[in-house]
Amino acid sequence: MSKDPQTVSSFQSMLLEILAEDLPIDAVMEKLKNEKSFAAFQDQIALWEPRMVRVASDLVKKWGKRCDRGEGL
Amino acid sequence: MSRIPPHMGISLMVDPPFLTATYPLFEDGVVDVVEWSFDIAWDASPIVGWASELLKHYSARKRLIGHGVTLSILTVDAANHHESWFTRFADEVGKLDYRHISEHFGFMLAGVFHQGAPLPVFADETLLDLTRERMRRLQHIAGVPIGLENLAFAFGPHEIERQARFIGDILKSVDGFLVLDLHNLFCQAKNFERDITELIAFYDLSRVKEIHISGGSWSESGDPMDARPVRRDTHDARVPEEILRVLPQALKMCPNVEAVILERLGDTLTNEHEISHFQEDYHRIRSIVAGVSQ
Repeated sequence: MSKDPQTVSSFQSMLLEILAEDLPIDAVMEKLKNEKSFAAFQDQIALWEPRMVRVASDLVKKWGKRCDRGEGL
Repeated sequence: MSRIPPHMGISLMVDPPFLTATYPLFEDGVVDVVEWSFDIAWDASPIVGWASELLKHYSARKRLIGHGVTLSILTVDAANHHESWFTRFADEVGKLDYRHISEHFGFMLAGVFHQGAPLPVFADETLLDLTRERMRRLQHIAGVPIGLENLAFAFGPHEIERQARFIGDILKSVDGFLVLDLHNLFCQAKNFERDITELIAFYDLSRVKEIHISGGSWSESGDPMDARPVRRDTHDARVPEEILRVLPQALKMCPNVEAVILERLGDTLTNEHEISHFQEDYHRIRSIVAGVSQ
């Protein structure tokens, strides 16, 4: 079933926020499972492998850059 | 019936070691096409003279391929970024003559993040509609065929076939082409213990206009419950033998390939040993590609 754009958009931005945090992998997985705005995606997230989430986190930490204050995408 | 072999080329980097490594290839006339990640250069210093001359040379001969990196075509909400990107893209295609242009599948920007690395999405109609509109805009501005490259990363094995299907749906909706990145599939095959030829077959191979080849590296798992290392598409090492072994079969499976591109980060060609291996890989791939008609 299709999700509304706002739900997908919130998921994308919150996912990058969580992956950018400096947390052990089990704490990241807990956050992903408990994030309220991820409710519509939990059936998919349950299939994610922690080692791959760790790589995604490494990628965001290495390449991710935040906008300056007041700027937006 | 014999087939015209695809063009063989490289993804152009502007680092001095890259020039050292590729100069003999250009001098010998064995680089048929050049691929240029134009948007990486938009915010960088002016392109160095030798690279600029090469771009003009290949552009004038209709042997220049564009490969965008920073559009983040699957970010749902990035209106300012997308507007700015398309404006600069229109300027770009007015300066150089690209034979076709591709982007990456996935999203790398969202919320407060204006830079990142491509991550997968959950396929659904909403994203398909958004992406189709952006691909059409890309097509309208470019005036040449447009395509998408398959992703290296997946959060789990269940995503592999879904990514292929979603990319297929997007490309079908705009009659776009696929950049089949063999090292990206190699990463997925290694990470989830699958056969790479099985993964290739998930894609609509009649749409493959270009094949990418590169090397990569391994990362530790970081998960105490699952020690399997993770293969990553880091473009910093020579091409795995397995990819060279599968290339002839991949070329047979993709009847419409026009170009095969070797990718390597310029600043990783740090010594003579690395440069020699890069050149050796290039010649081996070129020889395989040349044999496609036989």
